[in-house]
Amino acid sequence: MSVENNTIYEYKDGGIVSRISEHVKIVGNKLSIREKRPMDKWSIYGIDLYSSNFTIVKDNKIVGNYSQVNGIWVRESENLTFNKNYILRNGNGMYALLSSNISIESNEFSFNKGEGMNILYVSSSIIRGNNITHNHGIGISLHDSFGNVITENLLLFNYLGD
Amino acid sequence: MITAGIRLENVSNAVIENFTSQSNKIGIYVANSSNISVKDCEFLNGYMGIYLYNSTHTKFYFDNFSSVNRNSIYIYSSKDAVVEHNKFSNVGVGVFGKYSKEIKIEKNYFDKGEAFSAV
Repeated sequence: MSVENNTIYEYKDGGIVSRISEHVKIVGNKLSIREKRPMDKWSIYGIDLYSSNFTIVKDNKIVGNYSQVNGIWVRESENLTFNKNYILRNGNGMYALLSSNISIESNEFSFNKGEGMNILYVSSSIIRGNNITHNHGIGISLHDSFGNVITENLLLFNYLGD
Repeated sequence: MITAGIRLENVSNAVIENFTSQSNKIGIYVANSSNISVKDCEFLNGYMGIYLYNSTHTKFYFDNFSSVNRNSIYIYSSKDAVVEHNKFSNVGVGVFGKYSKEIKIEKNYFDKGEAFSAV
């Protein structure tokens, strides 16, 4: 299954959602919330993966205008690749939970209101060569996780607060 | 019995062009069919634009979906479907794929609504 080079504006829940799926390619899409919406009233996610294994997310641009809870939202998934995505102006850039074997390489997570990346209960993953800058929260936040490698990332001007 | 504007069952090699579906429960229902194309069609209001069931080699392109309540294109238990160059405005979900393989969704424009959902 592939979702490629689409333009997606003003979605209400998730822009691209993959649940209980395998071998989905999400490449070169532009997702954007232009209209300002209160984040506590709208649960909006750019790319939402739940139990989605062997999924490739590459060359996407996700811009939340501070109205999107998470640019990328991952739960209970395995064998995922995130490469060369731009994730700007969301709540959290990426929120990953209860997942394993994730490769997060050469992405940009910037100007997000929460953390650049929030990782919980994730194992055997690599976070490499990402630019994580100007996020209001922590650049990379890792909790209750094991066997992960974090290397060669650029972290600048994070944790600035409001 | 599925109620729809157009229903194709056990059909092969068909093209539907320049069709407007307004306020039908389902615009076009395609089941157990192959080599079906839907091009330059318009789906306004209604519950579902296109419902594809157990079909192969289908293509949906240059169609316009507006204010469709639920799924604009619902692809169920099907294989090899291409969805490209369509416009989806103010719909529930643009493309919903369930128990399907080899679906390609490319170069579409989605405004207001979930673009793609797969289960």
